[in-house]
Amino acid sequence: MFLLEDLTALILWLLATVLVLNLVFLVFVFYRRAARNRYYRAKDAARERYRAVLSQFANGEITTDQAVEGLRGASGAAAQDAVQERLLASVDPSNIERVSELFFALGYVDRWARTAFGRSRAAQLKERSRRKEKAAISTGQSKSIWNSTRRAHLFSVPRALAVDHLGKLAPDFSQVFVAEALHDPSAQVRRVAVEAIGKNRHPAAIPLLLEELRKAIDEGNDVSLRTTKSALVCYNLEDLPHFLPFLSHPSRRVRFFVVDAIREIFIKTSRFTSISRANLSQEIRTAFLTKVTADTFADVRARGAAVISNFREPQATDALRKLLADENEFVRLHTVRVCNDPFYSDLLPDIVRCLADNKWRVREGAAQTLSAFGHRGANELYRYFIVAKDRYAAEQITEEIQRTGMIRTLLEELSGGGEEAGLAQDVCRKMTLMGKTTLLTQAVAANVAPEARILLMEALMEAPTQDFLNLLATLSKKDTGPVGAKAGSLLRQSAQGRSAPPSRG
Amino acid sequence: MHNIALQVLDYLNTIILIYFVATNVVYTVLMLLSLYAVSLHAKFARQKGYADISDSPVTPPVALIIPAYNEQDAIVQTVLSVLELNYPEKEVIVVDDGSTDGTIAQLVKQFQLTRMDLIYRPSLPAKLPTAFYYNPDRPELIVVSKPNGGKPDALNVGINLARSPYFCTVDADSLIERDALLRLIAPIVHSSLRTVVSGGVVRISNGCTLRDGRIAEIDLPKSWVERCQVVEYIRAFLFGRPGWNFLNATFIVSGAFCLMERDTAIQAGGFSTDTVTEDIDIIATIHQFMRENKRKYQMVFTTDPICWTEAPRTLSMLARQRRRWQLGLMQTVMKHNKMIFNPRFGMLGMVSMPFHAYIEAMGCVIEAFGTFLVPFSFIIGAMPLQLFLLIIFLAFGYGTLLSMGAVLLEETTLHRYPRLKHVLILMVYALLENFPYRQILAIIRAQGVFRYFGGMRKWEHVEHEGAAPRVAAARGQA
Repeated sequence: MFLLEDLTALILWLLATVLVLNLVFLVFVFYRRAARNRYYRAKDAARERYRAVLSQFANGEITTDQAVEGLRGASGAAAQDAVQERLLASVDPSNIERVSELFFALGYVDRWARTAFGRSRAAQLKERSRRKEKAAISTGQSKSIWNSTRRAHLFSVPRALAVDHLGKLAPDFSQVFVAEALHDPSAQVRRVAVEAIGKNRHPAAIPLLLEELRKAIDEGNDVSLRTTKSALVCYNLEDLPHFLPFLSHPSRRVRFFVVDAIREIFIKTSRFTSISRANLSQEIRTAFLTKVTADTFADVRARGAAVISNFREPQATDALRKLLADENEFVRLHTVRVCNDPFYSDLLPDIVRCLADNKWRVREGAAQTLSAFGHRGANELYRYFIVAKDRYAAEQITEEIQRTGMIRTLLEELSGGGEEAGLAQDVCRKMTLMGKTTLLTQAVAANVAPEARILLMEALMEAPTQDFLNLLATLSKKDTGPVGAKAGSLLRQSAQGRSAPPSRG
Repeated sequence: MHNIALQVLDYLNTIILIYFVATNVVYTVLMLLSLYAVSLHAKFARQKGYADISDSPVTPPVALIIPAYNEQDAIVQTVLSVLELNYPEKEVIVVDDGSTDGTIAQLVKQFQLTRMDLIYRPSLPAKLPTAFYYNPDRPELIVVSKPNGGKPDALNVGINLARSPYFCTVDADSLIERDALLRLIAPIVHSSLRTVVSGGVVRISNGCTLRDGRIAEIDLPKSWVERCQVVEYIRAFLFGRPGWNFLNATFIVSGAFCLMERDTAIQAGGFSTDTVTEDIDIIATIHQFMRENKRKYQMVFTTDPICWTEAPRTLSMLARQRRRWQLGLMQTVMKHNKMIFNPRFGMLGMVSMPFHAYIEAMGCVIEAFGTFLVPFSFIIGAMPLQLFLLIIFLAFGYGTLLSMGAVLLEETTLHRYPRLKHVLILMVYALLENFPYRQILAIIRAQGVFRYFGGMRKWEHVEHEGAAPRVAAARGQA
């Protein structure tokens, strides 16, 4: 039976435990702060001490052996971390091999490999890595009774971090480690390994990544689709022939992700260099112009358009024209968005046709593309807009005129006079009739050329809003020039219109 | 008669004792799970970083939705903070919910916005926008004005305008750390399971110095109410939610900073005006929608994406906020009560929902009642000293361990308070928070529960000081 005296003892014990634990927490905070201070002081000192050696090594002024000699004293955790950080920060394609060799020589690789794969396996892998052995990359996970334990974060986090470091070695050195890490039972470790494969761009690993992709799509994979796709996108244009066989993969979703990854590679490359036919093999071009454009899966055709737009050749124009008229809205949408290249000006009539598409996203894409074509595209857009019967298409165009800042060009054209001014005034008139007057009214109030303001006022008189009438009243009082005079006359005209008896009929 | 009264007191005290034992057991389990999960996550994230996500073209675009109602003092700092976020592709949508102050004027002036007549295509029901403000030179930002309809209505307008596959709700008085969105999206990018909600940590910015939409200097607020809230937030976000996340039973994600999948939110019906805490409600709604449609999904909570928000400065404002939260929690658990003890909802239905319904939502009534009844029973001699001490220990003593542990976890993982003085102050308040702050809150929360049963569902307005004084302080220092 539970007695009250026992309860007293229990409470006292509990109280004492809590007090002691709270005290331990407090002491731990002091300890932690002191340890942290010590660590960072030591790290700063190490950075300072080894700065010269590390920068000389990074610049190729001293050999690996000399660097090892100079860094011999970096033994504590803080010093080792300082050296590691500095070395990783100095890595570039020209010195990555030497930096990797230095990591070997200083014992970092040994430490990382032991953490990631255990003592016995690490020695073997390290030897293979030093010999730059090509790894047979496969995805099968190792079978072990300890797998469930090894999957636990407590054990997998240090392994994942070690694999991450190993993945930063030169591709020839890291390949063996990364390939081994792919067999790890932990998804976290495998993810880091997949990311490392992407960063190092092993061509031999492309089939493996695509297999990982297929697993993620068809069966479910512990490494996410996005991670695998990110790794694939790290590859370059010259690696694309390795992707080609997968354009005929029986799984349509695999085909889609492969084309999408290629599309991303094109986008990435085009940020730094201009892509031309010279960069691309005939194989690639033929595959996209014939196979991808005729794929039974619409998403494949849609993503293929972005790749084809980089070819800049007559066949590409024909292919894009065909895709612009595709039965699937996503194909039309993706195609119309990528036609904003002056090379494809022959496609302008096809793009204008997309303005009347029954899907608003396609209409929006067409309006955006036309506006990106500059003066010629804008004029096409305006001409279509003025006569457009379709309310939704017209609204889409007004959205584009407002959002892209085309209104500024319209104002310039209004003040320029001539045929262009007439077209611009017609656009403003149509916008007024559609009730899209806010921006136009603001332009009348703004400090732009008087000619433009007068033409704008005339356009806005098509359907004057109260805001506009108020503005006219203000202008007629404050502006002594032609704008004020015009405002006054329009105001009188409006008053006469209001006082006239309503027509009977 | 005397014996019957003693008997009743005995029963009531037993219920109070059971409540405290149950609460402390659950909190201890959550604490242990959180210690494990948070420390390992922090270790991995600290070393691995998020460069792979920021550099990847595969990282999905995100729309940041900021509902604002009379936030002229804070809104510019908040928008600056989200525009400066380190994220590859984002859109920022500020929804002015019929403000009567200069919220719109501040935004127009700061970001040189122009009023436009843009297209609005609603997927979710909400009041129609009356104006759009946009700057073609800053295409990632759009401000929309609408008649007042409440925060859920404003959020639905934001979702309707968003074009990205994910959206992130941000309170108008909050500042987001530069890498926070990357950290928030990381579980979505890395997980092979469909992640529909990703929540982050909310911290209190009172006392901090702001500059250009960033926390320039972290400091603690001066008043005890604010300091207790700092400790309370640390405990809730580092000890409570990671524990539930570990059990895959996340039920509460703060709407101040929460990422959601747009399509799922739309299919689940968006934010509802049924409750006064739309952020709790939508989480339960999405859980229910996904389970009923037999879809595989997860909701995650991560501890390193941090959003700093302004907390109530006075006890009366705090009382308003907490009554609303409690009322909202009650409304939510009652609205979704079919999830309680429902095995179809897994750990969420069997553990998390019952805990939130009986301990978090209604338990405060027992706690508030116990605050008076336990000392009373002891004084009149109806409770032995030992039992009295045990309840006191469970009510105050054990809580100090949890709060101190949370502060320690913050110190060892996130380490956002750089000065030792701050940590020591937080530790002192970790003790004080358990008496009398917790008891005062229990009484306030109990009022919220009574309001629910009384049929009240009014949103009590909480006044904020805004960012201006703290920004001014920063300028003064500069």
